[in-house]
Amino acid sequence: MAGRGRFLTVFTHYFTNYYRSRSFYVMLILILLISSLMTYLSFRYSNNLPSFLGGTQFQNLPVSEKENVFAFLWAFILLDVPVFASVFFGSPAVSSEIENKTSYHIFSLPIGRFTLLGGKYLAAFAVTLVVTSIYIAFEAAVLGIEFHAFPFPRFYISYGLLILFILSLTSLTFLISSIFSKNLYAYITVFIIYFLVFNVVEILLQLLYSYNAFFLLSNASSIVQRVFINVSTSNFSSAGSITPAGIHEVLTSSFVMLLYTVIGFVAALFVFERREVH
Amino acid sequence: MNPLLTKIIVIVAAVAIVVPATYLLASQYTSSQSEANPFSYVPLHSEVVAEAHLNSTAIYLFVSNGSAGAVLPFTINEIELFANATYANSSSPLQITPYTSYMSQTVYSVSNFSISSLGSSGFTLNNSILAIVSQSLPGNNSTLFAANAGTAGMVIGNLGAVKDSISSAGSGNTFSSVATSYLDGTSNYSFYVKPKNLSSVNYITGNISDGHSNVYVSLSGNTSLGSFHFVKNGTYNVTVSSKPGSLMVTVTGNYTLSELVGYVTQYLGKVGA
Repeated sequence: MAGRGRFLTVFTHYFTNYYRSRSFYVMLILILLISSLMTYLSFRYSNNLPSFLGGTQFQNLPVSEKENVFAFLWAFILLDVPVFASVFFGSPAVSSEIENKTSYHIFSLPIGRFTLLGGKYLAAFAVTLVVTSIYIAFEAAVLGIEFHAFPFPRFYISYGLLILFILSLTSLTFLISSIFSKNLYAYITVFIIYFLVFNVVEILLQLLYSYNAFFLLSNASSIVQRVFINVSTSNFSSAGSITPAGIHEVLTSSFVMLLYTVIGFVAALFVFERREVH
Repeated sequence: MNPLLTKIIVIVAAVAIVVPATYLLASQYTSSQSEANPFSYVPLHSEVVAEAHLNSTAIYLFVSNGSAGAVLPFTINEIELFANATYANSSSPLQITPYTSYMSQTVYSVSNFSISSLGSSGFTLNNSILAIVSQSLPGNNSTLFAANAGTAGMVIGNLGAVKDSISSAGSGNTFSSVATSYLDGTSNYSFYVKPKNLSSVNYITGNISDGHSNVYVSLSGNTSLGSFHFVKNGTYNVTVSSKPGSLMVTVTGNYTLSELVGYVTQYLGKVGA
């Protein structure tokens, strides 16, 4: 079988496995619930935007600005949902093969480990993207109905950045998964690193040195939301402005996520390549 | 494919992506910091630069070639939104119209704009700051000019000041490189003055924080200016430490920015500096 054919086979196999798994259905139900709730809240409270923004000058927002505010609020969910999805699909990627002893069979197949991990990585990425795209589809429909002006460019930019965020997060989870032999450790480590370590470092640097930790994935990923309004919902020093993030900020965050993607994936490849079956 | 060859290809591909991405990340980060830094829109050779902080809002005033400007933490778009809400039924509505293009950036003319009205608009601008901006910029009803200042907000003022701001931001010849040397970002008010008519003075810097003020005068020669006293509504403490080449004045009492600068320049005039 040619290399490309093997890769496609591995990808298809794991993609099928993923969407038949319980994790997928848990994420699917979760995303449908969140999307329905956001849809209800959007229609129910669409006239309360000025009070949400907190200033009388926002009483007569033009349609384009209202659209930005709506997209900003919807994007808030996109900072966390991909983390859960990536953890569900990415964290057990390697550790489960070791823990369940399936690695005995897989490692003896005439398929290179680079092909195995690459195919599995793309499958995990694809299934995470499918889950988050359902939410995006709800968002697009709500914006279209509410403003009759969909699509608008920043929406696509945000979606592109979301794809990059999922790629980088999947790389990180694969790297951690390739280190551990038990699923539980991989799950917990990813959650601790992303929600605890990253946040603590960010808060400490901000409070002690007024330094914006732009190099942390949790910080860079906020660009998915800040591309609409440059206010970070996890940052103390954000000013009350409805200006979108500038092009340099978008590119800075993009390069940070690209580096996490490449370094995380390559490191995972080499760790996986050296794994022994015990 | 040979496993070793695969490893080499992966490493080469990773390096080929990581190295340029890191370089571009560094340059984009520097640019984003500069874009968000208000001092990047204050010309380096300004005669006066003042920084005012109150209630988490900061504004920056400057006088460049005799022309006054201010960097405010709002975009022109936001000011327009504010205008729509506030001036909708006014007999002399606020008008913001494109006036000219300078160095590929749009300069807007702003008519009938009272900067003090911002204080009641929901913007987080303290009244003291509004007073400083109002005093520094041309009269309320005259035409001002404005341009967006990256993610730092906007620059507004005389046409000359706005153009100087745009050109300095474009060339990188900005006050951001020296701001920390001359201004104290922790004070309520901090200022830098480079007097044109006092030959023996390089520059004057000072700050005012809750009843405690400092003025530092950098002298161009080895002149010793001795001591002097302020008089204002009763008693207060003045400490003067003078040595050849510099003069440090510490004042305990409530002085406004203009009073402090006025006293010092008045004194320097008396001693013939």
